[in-house]
Amino acid sequence: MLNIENLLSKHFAGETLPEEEKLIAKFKLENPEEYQAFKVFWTEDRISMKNVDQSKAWENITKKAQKIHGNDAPKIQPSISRPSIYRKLAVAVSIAAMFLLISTVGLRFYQQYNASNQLAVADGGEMKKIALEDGSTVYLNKNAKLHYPSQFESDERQVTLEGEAFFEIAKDAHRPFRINTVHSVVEVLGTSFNIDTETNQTEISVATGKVKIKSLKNDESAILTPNQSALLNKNQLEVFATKDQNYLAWKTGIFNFEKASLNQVVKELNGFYNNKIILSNQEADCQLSSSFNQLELKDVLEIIQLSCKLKLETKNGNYELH
Amino acid sequence: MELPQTLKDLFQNNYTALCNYAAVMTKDKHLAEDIVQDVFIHLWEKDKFNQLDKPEAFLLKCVRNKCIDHLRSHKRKNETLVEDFIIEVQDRPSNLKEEEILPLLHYFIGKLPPKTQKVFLMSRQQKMTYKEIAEELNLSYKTIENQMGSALKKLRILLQQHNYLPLAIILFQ
Repeated sequence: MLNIENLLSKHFAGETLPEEEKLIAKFKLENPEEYQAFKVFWTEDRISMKNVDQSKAWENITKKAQKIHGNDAPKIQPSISRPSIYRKLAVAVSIAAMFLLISTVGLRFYQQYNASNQLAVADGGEMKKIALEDGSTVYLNKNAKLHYPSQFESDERQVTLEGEAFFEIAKDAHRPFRINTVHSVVEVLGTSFNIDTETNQTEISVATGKVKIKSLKNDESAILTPNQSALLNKNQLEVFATKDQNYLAWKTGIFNFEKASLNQVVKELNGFYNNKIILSNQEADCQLSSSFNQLELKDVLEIIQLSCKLKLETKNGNYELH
Repeated sequence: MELPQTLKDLFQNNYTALCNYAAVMTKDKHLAEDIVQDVFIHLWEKDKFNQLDKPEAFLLKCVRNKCIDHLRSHKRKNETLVEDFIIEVQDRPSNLKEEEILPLLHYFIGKLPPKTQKVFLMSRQQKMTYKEIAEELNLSYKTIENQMGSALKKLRILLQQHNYLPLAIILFQ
């Protein structure tokens, strides 16, 4: 009978036989998330288990509990009665067994002398513009967060991004600009581009200059030039010509639609106009070829109404089209 | 005053593992024990330990939250904590964050039954081969294989219980 857990654990320990590897490959294909999760735990070697004195800890807890409940309770009966010498010894042993420094290979602390780290959050439903010390500018889309220092290091510039932002990076050949996201490091070679991170993927679109993306998994990398995009997801790095010409609209308010379906138009507009447009008839068969250049929402809606012969209704602060 | 047996049982089965988790999170063994003890006291105070659906998962969550609170309030002013992103790109299940893995690993190890724990540590910490472990412990190769398989199974259950993995049924022909 096949025991997949036996096989998997053997696989990660390097103990499998060649014919067993085929089964592992099948499992990996069918259960990629689980495979990776197991792999992570099975190949982590920064293990340092500590000894604790459970009975002493329990005593502590009982003592504290008694304090909380007042002194009307009977005297504490320890579950194990020990002579006092043992107690002292137990303390000495637990100090001696104090664990040694866990390797901090996994974490780096940057000591920045003149800098304090900053956190910019685009809350309040608005975009936020941030000027960085080196002359770079970052435009945060709604709810995006940027961690950055007020002073960059002397050999590199690093920030951390959650959400979507547009970067205009000042050229500095001596200090590469690196953007950390949940699953990637984007190295910038003096350029401007849009980066959108979600839990499962990161999308990058280049406007000007060049962007290099490194996959830390397998040394795969790509260099993007203007009008190119890349999608980083579960297992791959995909480069393609930028499809969505309105990807910067959230920042510029400029939309260009060419024979776009109504659904698509509403979806994209909602990104900028805070989800206020509701399309009650999803099947509405209408194509739009229009440009909106930073218009007021009501003007946009008027155009759509006329083009698609729809009626507009205001409900609860939202605009319903049908 | 004698504390309730249910609470004590929870304590016996989880204290060490929780302390190891907290010690990795906070990098402070004594603080770790304080945190875990506080969680048990809190549990007792609020009289919750009898009504919990998944008490062990609850305990872990409480300890985790307390550790995070501590780390937040103690982040020193002129330091930037930067996760080392030299990790596999997109390899993680989306609910499992990089910084959670090491503490969770220590909790997982702490929860293994003694024999399994010993074999696991010899394999994964000391990097011994199954053959070497078998020889060292005077057991059969198959036994080692089974112990490690059993450990992985426990890991899978742990990850599912804490919602780090979707519940999946592995069917195999």
